[in-house]
Amino acid sequence: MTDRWTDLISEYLDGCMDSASRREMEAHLESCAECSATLEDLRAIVVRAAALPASAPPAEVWAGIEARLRAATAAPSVPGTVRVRNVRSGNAPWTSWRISLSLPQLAAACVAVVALSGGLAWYVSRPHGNAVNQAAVPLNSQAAATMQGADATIEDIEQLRQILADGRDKLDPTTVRSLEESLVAIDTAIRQGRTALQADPQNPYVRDHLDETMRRKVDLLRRATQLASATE
Amino acid sequence: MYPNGPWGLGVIPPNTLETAVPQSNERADVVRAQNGDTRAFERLYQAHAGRVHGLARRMIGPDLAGELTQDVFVRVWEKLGTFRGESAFGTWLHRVAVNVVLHRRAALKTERIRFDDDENVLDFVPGRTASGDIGMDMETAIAKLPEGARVVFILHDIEGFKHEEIADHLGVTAGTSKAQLHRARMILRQHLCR
Repeated sequence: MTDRWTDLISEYLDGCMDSASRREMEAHLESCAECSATLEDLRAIVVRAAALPASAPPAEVWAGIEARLRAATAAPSVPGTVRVRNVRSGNAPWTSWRISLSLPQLAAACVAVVALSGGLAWYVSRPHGNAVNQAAVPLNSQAAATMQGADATIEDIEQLRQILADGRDKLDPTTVRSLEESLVAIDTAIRQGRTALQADPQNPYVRDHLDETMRRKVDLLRRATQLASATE
Repeated sequence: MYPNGPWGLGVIPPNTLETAVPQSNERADVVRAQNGDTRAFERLYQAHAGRVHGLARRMIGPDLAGELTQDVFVRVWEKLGTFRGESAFGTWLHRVAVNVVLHRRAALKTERIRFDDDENVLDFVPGRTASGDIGMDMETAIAKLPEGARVVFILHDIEGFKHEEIADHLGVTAGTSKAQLHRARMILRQHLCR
């Protein structure tokens, strides 16, 4: 047996050889007991691999899916449409937002990010010496879209909050406390963001900040509802 | 001999716990689910969850298999509106599943070093079990394969994808896929057939 032939056994086994190479291989196999034995071993492995059983997932997997669908279908009801809206783009799937943090970690991260970005939002949106009367500035189209998105997201948030309320007693008290503190901080940041955007609708940072803050809130609530449903 | 790989292009291999659902019933459930019927979607889940969970468990590991199965079916629900029936629903669903699993795998690779790309990893695997549970023995051996070889082996020999499809999914050449598959088989042979 040589490496040349050994390396070709899988291709031969899978029928990936042209007819000339296959004939050459078959001639070699007739004279090489070692390659023939390797071929039979690999054939057995392929057959065994194909016969491996699937594995039934635990029952709570469907429960988790159902909870996520319930939370999602609280928004638009037809699959194939956006489930929980990204208020900025309106088309990013909400599942792409998930990050691998525990709920308390996520809550702490949300608060930290909101605090930092909220401070920056305040800084860039505060009145300057040559500023016009910003309260009188009408919303431009982007700001209006963000505000409309914010209203829609707030509805989603309320539905998620209700689902969470139903399952809250299943969560660890420390987690619940951390979650509530985070939600208060995020609510405050959203209110400030809306006020800042009304005052300065041209400011892209304020708009992004409001989008991001609401996205984090939806994500936090979604993780919490998942966790609550998973502990059932 | 397998002219187009063990199962051929787009053909679902038989290694599945899928319920034998008549195609017409499944098609009807797909339509119902596309219209928002979660009970119909649950039936589709029951029919295909075993295969998806098996894929997730082998590709990512048992700890995340349940969560990943959830992600797959939520993604399937979101994308149901794009399913036009041009292929079997199970085939379409499984392609979505592979995409979700490979996406997660790519993310995990940046977070942890779980897979040691060293053939010696199999030295820690015991030989065939005395109980004769060859299936489990093979599962253990597959789990210990080097990352690249393991992924290609799962996709080709268990899931029935062709090298060209695997190459497309993984961003490698078909030649690399073939080489990794052969490597995986030879490592398994060394362990399972010695």
